[in-house]
Amino acid sequence: MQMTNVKQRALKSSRTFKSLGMWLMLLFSLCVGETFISCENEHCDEPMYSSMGISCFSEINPTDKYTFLALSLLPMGADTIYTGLENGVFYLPLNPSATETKYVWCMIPRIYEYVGVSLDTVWQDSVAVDIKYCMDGKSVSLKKKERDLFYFSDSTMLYFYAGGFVRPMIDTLTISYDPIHEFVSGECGYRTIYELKNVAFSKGTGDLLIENDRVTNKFKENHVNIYMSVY
Amino acid sequence: MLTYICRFISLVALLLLANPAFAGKKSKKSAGEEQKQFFYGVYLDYDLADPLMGAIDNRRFGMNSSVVLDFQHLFYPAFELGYATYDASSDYIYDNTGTGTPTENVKYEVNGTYYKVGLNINLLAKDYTKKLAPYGYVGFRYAIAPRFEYEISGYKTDASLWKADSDYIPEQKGNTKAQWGEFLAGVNTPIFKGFCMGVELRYKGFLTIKTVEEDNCSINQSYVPGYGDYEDGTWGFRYTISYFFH
Repeated sequence: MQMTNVKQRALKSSRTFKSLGMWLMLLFSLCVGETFISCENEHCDEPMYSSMGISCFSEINPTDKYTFLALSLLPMGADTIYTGLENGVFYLPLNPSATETKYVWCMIPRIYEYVGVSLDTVWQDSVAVDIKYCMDGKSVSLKKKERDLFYFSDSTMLYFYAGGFVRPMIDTLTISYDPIHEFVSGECGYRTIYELKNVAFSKGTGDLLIENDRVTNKFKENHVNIYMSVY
Repeated sequence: MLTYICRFISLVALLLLANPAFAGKKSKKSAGEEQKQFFYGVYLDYDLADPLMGAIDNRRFGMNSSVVLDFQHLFYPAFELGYATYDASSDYIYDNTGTGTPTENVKYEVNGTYYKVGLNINLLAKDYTKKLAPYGYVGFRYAIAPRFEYEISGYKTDASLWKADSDYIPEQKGNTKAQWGEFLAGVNTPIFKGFCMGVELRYKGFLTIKTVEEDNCSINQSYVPGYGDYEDGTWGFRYTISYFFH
């Protein structure tokens, strides 16, 4: 009789232990589960910008990358200027709110001539305070300078190259496309990808070939090859 | 990711090892083998995690319920039904304007029904003498949200370089489909008469979402009802209260 009581008590305590164990286990897993709750991602980690990759080659030898003496691109309708593109590989943004983007293509031709620009330093108490520029016998003022590109007026841009001023060769690069607005997420919103339709120079600076007509956010992807005529 | 995998493995191991029934598996055979039945009953459960999450985050509302059949205390085919609605927009976004000024009043809402079907396999020692016994399991689900709705508005294009040309993209409204798979591990234990409590950890993957192409827009969903956020929704859990019908 006494043995039965002991057994029953042992059985009961064992059941209590099992039940308690289960509850503890649920409680424990609840705590662990809470660690899996991730905070809402409020930041956009996606690459959102799509740039059109351009590679420039020599028309004579299409496997050789074309190296510019100097090249600057100015998106029309924007204040920005892209300089330092001499190695012939660069990436241009396109306007997502339009179906066409134009760039002013500004480069030093291979055969160039110096422009007669004289400099006159203005001194004040032995300190140089300004430089006066004189072109074609007229005094001109410098409006802006981007690297080696000097803006004397909206239509007069000169490169300072190898110790003198050089008049650049200017063309217009027109890129036509269909923009597709791709919804990425609540945090990022839309990014725009572009389906290229046509790329052309207005003065035939080079021959253009669309190699890949889909401009996406992929890093360093090439889309257009330019085969430069010999200048 | 490695941290999550380690946590997952540790959790499953702890859940199984901490279970007394599992601990007893090595020392004795499953009890009452001769009383083994083919079908023991049906669990009807309700997920408490969804309302809990909804209480923490008022942009979220969801409910999820499942029916689980008990065959031989070994196989547990399951069917789940759920509904979720989520306001997945941020209060503002910077990234698609590029101007440093936020786009405010953006809206991205998703809502819809989802279904999951799959199987649980009990890994614990079975007590065939009892209709209702604790079970610890691993399993899988095939899930589908066949026609969930979305509404997106207030976002702009990034034309910051061209000044003043940033346009609002027209409101996008429609529905689409998503499918995915889930692997899960959990335990379920009786607490009072036919009532049980359970906890379940899920790993979700193989998500495919149908992209909607309309006019000049391509809409990819970053949130799916039943799955959660495309990036953050890989892990999920359920805390269930269930009743066992037999």
